[in-house]
Amino acid sequence: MANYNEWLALATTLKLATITTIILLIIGTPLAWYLSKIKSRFKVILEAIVALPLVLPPTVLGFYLLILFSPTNPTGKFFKDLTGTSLAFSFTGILIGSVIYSLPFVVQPLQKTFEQLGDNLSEAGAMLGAGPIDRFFHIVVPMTKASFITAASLGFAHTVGEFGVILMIGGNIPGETRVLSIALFDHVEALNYSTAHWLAGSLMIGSVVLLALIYLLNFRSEKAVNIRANG
Amino acid sequence: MNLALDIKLTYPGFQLSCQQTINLAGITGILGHSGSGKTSLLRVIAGLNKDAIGTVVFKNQTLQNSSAKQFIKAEQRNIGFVFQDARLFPHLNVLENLHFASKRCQPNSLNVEEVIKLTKIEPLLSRHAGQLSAGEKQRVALARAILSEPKLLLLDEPLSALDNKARAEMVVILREIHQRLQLAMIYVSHSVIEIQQLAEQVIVMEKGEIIQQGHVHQVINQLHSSLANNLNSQTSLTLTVKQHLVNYGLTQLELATSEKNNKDIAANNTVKSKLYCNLVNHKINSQLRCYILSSDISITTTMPKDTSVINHLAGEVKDINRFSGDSAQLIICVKEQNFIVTISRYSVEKLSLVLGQNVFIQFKANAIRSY
Repeated sequence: MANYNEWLALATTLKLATITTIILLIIGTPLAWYLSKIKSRFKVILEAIVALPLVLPPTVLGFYLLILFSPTNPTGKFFKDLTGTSLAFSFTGILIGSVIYSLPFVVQPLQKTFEQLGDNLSEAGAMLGAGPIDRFFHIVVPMTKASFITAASLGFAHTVGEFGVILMIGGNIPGETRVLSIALFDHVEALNYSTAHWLAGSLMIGSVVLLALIYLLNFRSEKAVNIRANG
Repeated sequence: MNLALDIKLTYPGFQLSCQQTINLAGITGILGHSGSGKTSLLRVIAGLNKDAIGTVVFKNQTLQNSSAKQFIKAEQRNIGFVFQDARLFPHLNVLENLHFASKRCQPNSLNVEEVIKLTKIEPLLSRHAGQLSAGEKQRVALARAILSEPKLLLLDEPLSALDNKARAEMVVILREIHQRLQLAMIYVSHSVIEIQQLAEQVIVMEKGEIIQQGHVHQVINQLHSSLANNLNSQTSLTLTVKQHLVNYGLTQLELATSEKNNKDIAANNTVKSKLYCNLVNHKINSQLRCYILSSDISITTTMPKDTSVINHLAGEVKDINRFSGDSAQLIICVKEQNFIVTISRYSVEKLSLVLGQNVFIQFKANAIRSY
């Protein structure tokens, strides 16, 4: 059964996943919009950078972030001078790592949906006097609601399941960087299989429930859109 | 109200080049085949195409001036657009679509209820786009565009996806809206019939250029007379409804033509000729847009008497175009109104028709076709 440390790991995981998802939506939405609109060759390079975490071993990403966060590095030094704390082995550090690592899971579904939506409805909105921000929030967002739910859920679920990056840049500090996947690794290493089973099973069931919810929401949303659009 | 255009837009394999000032009194029709540049021109006027080079000036306001890097965004131009595919917002019902427009037009002088009534969409208000027919969608799109209270309304082939019934309904609504709101409109179509029904002046486009501009009947008659060997050529007319002869199933019409006075060349006398068509549902003294197929008109060299053909007019042979086949197309000028007539080459020779000859044209009541 779970003890205080496991509950603490669960709380850290949920906190990390929630904040990561919010940041991803804030930066991922304009990035996805930009990628769906640009037509230059630069698009390909930007897409490749966004998709990098999909193919790169998490340890590679974690290693470079660790170097970047080190107080001997200008970036890490700047942060330490500014806040008095180090980025490496901190919650902020694993948060930055999570945002980078889960970025494609939010950007790609949104970009695809924005591309499929096209410019027709936005043009119609412009001809009725709606400016770009107005059109985005009153035409684009309601039309792509299902994709926002998918993107947020995937970003959240992917952060919950994160291991390699966090291990590299966060280590295993309870209440700060010790998330469920790290706690599970700890228990397996200590041959404490009953707690490991409990944690692994909870993560698996939680993930299945979350994914099922996403698909259910998408199914309902698509059905509603189809009825409205095609009768 | 003028729209001055001096623009160039180049795509691979296509160039739109337009230097024209359009007087936007009434409904202006833009006629042309697919790919002639009609929609591209509308998009430039609307501000939806930023690739065009040149100037667009509407009512003395510069909307675009490439050399001065001036470009007013589409949403700030106060120009309405009815797209070919309606483009209703699927996440909103009909009423919400209308409110989308009216909320963004402040202060607004048009009453939403009045526009709903005018476009006959009262029963549709709670429906979504998927639950509407093509004709209903276009009526909603029209109502939505009107509620943004534009100074100019652009209509890009709004009837092209509609069946005949929906098309006829929409034409009546468009005419009524134009009359009631005195809204300047540019109506794009590849259909001569639609343009003939709606427009007062017509611009003809071909390969990205304006090739003709003028009054609707004049342009359409010129187009038809220039179409070689076309038996379906037609004369386009506006006649005044004078009297309904219900017992006979006929409506008496008046063709007003001007005749030059020989004594005073500057003075014109208006000559009113009576014509008859099958009974139509138009008010007395209203204008009836109609056409007569060239193959429905015949020619006699003497005044027709004792004939069942009800309409006859005296005119003069202005042009004879002998086709390579067995038919010939003649332009008969009745006062200043030209009629296009297609008869056989045999008849041309039998009647010894020559240019300048005085003749009579005759056609039955059912030859006058309205929409």
